[in-house]
Order: sequence, then structure tokens, then C-alpha cells
Amino acid sequence: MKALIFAHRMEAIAFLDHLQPRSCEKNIYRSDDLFITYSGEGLFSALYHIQNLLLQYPEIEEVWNYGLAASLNGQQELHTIQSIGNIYRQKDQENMDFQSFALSGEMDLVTSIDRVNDAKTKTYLSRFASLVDREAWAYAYACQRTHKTFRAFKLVSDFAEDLECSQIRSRAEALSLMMWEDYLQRHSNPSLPAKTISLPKGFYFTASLAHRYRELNKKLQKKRGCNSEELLCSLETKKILELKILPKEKTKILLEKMEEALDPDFFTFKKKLQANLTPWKEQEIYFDFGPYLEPNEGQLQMRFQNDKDFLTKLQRLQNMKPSSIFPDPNES
Amino acid sequence: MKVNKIFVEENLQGHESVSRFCESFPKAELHIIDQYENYFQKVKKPYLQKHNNNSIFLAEKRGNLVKAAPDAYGLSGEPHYYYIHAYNCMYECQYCYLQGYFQSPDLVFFLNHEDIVESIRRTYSEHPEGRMWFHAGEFSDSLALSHLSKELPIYFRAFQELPRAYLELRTKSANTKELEKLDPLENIIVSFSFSSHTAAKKYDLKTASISARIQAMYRLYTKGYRLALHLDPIIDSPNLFSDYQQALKELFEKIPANYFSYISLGVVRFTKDVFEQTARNYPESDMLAANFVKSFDNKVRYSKPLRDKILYNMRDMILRMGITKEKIYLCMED
Repeated sequence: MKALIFAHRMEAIAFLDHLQPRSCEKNIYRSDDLFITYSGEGLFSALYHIQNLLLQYPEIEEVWNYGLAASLNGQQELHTIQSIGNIYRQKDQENMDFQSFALSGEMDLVTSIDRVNDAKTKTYLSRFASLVDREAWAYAYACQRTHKTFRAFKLVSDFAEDLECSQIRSRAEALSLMMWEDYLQRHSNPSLPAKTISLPKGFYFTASLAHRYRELNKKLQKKRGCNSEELLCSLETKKILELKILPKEKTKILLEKMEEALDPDFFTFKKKLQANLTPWKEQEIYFDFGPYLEPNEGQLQMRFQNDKDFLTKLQRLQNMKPSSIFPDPNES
Repeated sequence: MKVNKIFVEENLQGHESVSRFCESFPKAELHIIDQYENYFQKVKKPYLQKHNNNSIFLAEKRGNLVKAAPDAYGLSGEPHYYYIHAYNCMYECQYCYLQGYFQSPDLVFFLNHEDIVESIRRTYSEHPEGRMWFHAGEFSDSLALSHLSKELPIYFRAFQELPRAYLELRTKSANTKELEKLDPLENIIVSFSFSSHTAAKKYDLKTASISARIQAMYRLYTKGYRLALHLDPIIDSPNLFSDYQQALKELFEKIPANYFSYISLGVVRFTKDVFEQTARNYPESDMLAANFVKSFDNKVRYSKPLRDKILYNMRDMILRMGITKEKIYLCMED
């Protein structure tokens, strides 16, 4: 479910006229697959309103903000609609909030604390972005906190510092119609959702095993330049499925095979290391070099029966270097 | 490179570099500011903004101008320092640590090179004996925009008077124009990051191709410049060794292998933050299709056996191609 959020009712007017949504509550309207709402002007109104909206209607997955913005550098054509890239926030007259939001568009926008009426503020803000509005940062903030997709599209209505609000108000309906037409165009060309790797049948996956499987699958597809089906075929999953063991054990074998396919050197090395450790194991002396076999740290464990056994084992250890257990890299 | 804004510190308005930058990017808005620190990294900017929305700051570097290099940075046993002449790079290498180092991809060029040189001199005098090294290019490519920044003659003059000090200019560019105008010095070494044709094309986005880098090295070789190579970072691939062998063969056909003063070898590695940034910025890169582990220094690397195999075989290959073993060092490896 998508929500369209505006600052002012007049910005939304063409959307309301064309879609004729029903009113849910104050300033919130709903049609079949869309919420339309307006928050009021300014950062605090915007934040308060969108947080309420997202809390009350958790079915909203995506929020689009349409609204007016002023040009700070005078380089945008008036009445063009810009897809927003980064959104910054003015913290006070001489400071910016470090936190910004990166959207999929191209044009940078700064959300100001007040209407930009003086040249000094305009110059200061223009060093960070080309457009200025009063709300978008708050919408982006709330969406990020609630893991909703957020996009913003701004109609360049005026040049900051230049225009009286009354002049914009008189054109409000026409500007809203421009945004509606832009919305129709963008809405009919949605971007494709990311494809999820499906889990193979006959195996048992917990959430973490499924995550591990997908990670390995993705990496191996890239490494081998094949698709998921070809990959599973090359890993001989059919043979694993034929084994008379529990599905969870089959999953373990599959994941091990995938890990080995991703880093065969690591597995060859591990096998050789295990072989080198066998004579020590037989004497109940155990070395552990951690899961990644980084040689600069290890653990030693030893079992002994009596003082004599202890001293004998210590003597054997005295003459060995742990690094000598590691296989030669050129042989791995 | 598309530059949207140029910021100039007010006390540098008359500096000759300013007009060069402005003329090179005529469409960029010019902003006169007090200090770059009040704008650069004041807001978080995504790394990939560099695709279409770059800003350049022309500023004065304050604070530490020369810093000690990390361990295992260059040939061992000698002190290594780097000086800071710029922040960020116009290139876009997928593994670059700058994508997690700065909070903004905006480029900063420091114009007070005389101050940097003074700091180099002071550091030099602190080491009254033995060789020492200064590196340019820790935070930016040393040559990529040197035709605009034009600082090289200042450093050449300075190092002429510092015979025990070696300057390494590190690059992935083929922009040797400014160097070709100068006479080479025994203590200035131009080092090129080098990989296979395939790897450079896939991972060193917007940099000079390997063929162009070979041509650039050849131009400097014929001019008498000392050269070095960095086979770093090496990224594993199915034809890794044959691809590198091919590129190195092309290079050594033009310039004798042993002409190079040193060759560093390093396998791709990331801090945890940079690794996460890389995965976010380049989710489809096959560079990430590997078994990455937390290694001895908490950096994210290939597993130890794979690292060892790559380094051993690469070292063996360049030895067989005529490089003597004293000239090879492993960069940032245990």
C-alpha cells in the first residue's frame, strides 16, 4: 500500500478531485490502494503527522511526497518536477543536521527551519542543495525509522526569497494538476521489485540457515556466472536429497558443499591441517586455531593422567612451533 | 567528472589554481566560503553521489600536514610518512577505502603546498640519519588532476634539497603531462597501481585502463623517472594468475622488469565499515562473491589459505619474470 503525502491541502487538490477517496479521519483519505494525506507546513507538523499515519496504518509500505519547493540557485526551470536525491536539514541559521537521507532521484533538497526570506539564508542553504522545502526531511526520517520506502518529487514553484506566498496560492490548483500528471506517469512505470532467491525443496531451513543459503547462493551465482537452478544442479543436490537422513542434516551437507565451492582453498587447507593435527590429537593434545584459521592466535588443550604423563607431553610441546602445523601455502 | 559546485575559501580567491579549476568546470556554481571545514562533511553525503553531483573545495590545510604511515605501508625498516594534499578522488574503485572513510565524496584540494613542504622539511630534520619516505596519494590520486592543481614543481624543488627523503607519487591515472615537464629526480618515484586488464575494467571504475597505464609508465621510463608498481589490491578471479601474467608481460616488454624500484603485493581487504559500504554501493559486484572472514587485524579479508595462495603464486610469478626478491614487499599483510 502506498501513501501520498503533501504539506498543504491545495497541493493535493488535483489528486483528491481525480481519485475521489473517502475520508478516514482529519486530513487522511483512502482509495482502494492509496492513502492521500497532508501534514501542514513545517518540520514538526510534518513529523507529527507522518508518524501518526504510519503508526495507524502499518499496511503502508511506501510513501511518496509531492509538493512545492523553491530554487536556491535559480538554475532549475520553473514548474518542472524534480525527483529528489539527497535530503538535508537546516538545524539553525548557521548549522546543518549531519543526518541526511539518500533517495533514488537526482536533485538535492534542504528542508529549512523557516521560509527563506533573506539572501544570507538563501546563500547558506544553496551551498548544500539546489531546492528548499519545509517538510521532506521529516517524512524521510519517519520512513527510515519505520523501514518504509520513501520518494520525493518537488515542483519548482519559485525562486527562494523572490516570491510572495499569495502568488503561489493563486496558482495552486494548476500546480497540483501538474503534480497529478507527473504522478500518473511515474505510477504507471513502477520499478521492478528485487527478486528473492527461493529455497530448494526437500531441505529444512531455519531463518538463519535460509539467510546463509541465500547469501552463498548469491555469491556462487556471481562467481560461476550461472543461475540458481544451474548452481543446485552442479552441487548435485539430487544426491543429497536421496540420502536417508533428516532434512536438517541434508541442509547442513548442502551448505558445506556451497561453502567449499566458494572457497576451495580454505577447505583443502582445513583438511590438511586436520591431518597434521591427528598425531597430536592421538596424544590428547588439542589445538584450536579458530573458525578462520588465522595463525596469530590459537588455543591449546591437553589431557593428562598423572605427573609423569603431564611432563612427557610438556616436553613434546617444548620442541614444537604451532606454525609448523600449518600446511605450506604453496601446497594448498 | 561532473562538477556542480566549486567552493573557494575567501583568502584563496586570487590563487592561480582557483581560476584553472573554474575554467575547467565552467558550469559549476562558485561559492566563496570562510573555511572548508564548515561545509565539507557537515552533512552526510552518499558516496555514489560522485556519479553526477560533485563539489570541489579549494582550501587551506590546517592541523597535521604530514602524518606517520601505518605499519607495513612500504619497504620495511625505514620511516614512512604521508602528506595530505587532497581529500577524495575522482575515480571510483569499488574496493576503495575512501567510501567508508569520509562522510562525503566531495573533493578537497589544499593549495597551501608551501606549508606542507615546510612540514615535510621539519619531519626530515627530525630524522638526521638514514632514508625516509613521504607518500602522496593516501587520500587522493597523486596525478589524476595534477594538470589543474599544478603542485608538482613545488615538491620537486623541495625534494631536490632533501636527498635522504624519498617521495612516492601513487596513481591509477595516465596523466603524466605535468611530470613530463619536469626533470626526474633520483628520490622521486612514481608508483602505479596495477592489475589485470579485466580486473581494472571491472573494479577500477573511471580510472585509466591498464594499457593506458602501461603507456604512461613507458613515457616516464623514457624520460628517466624511477617507477614502482603496486599489485594491490589483488582480487581473486578464475583466471587471476594468467590475467596478471598477461598484463605484466605487456608491461615488461616495454620496460625491463628490474627497472622497477619495488613492487608491493596486497590482497583485497576492508575495514568492517568499508566492507558494509561496499556491499551497499556495489551489491552486484562479483568482487563480493567470496568467502570473506575477520582476519588477524580485524579487517575483512579472504580466508588465510586463499590469501597465502594468491600472495605466494603472485610473488613466484614476478620473481620468474625478473624482479629480484629484495624489491618485493607485502602490503598490510602479517
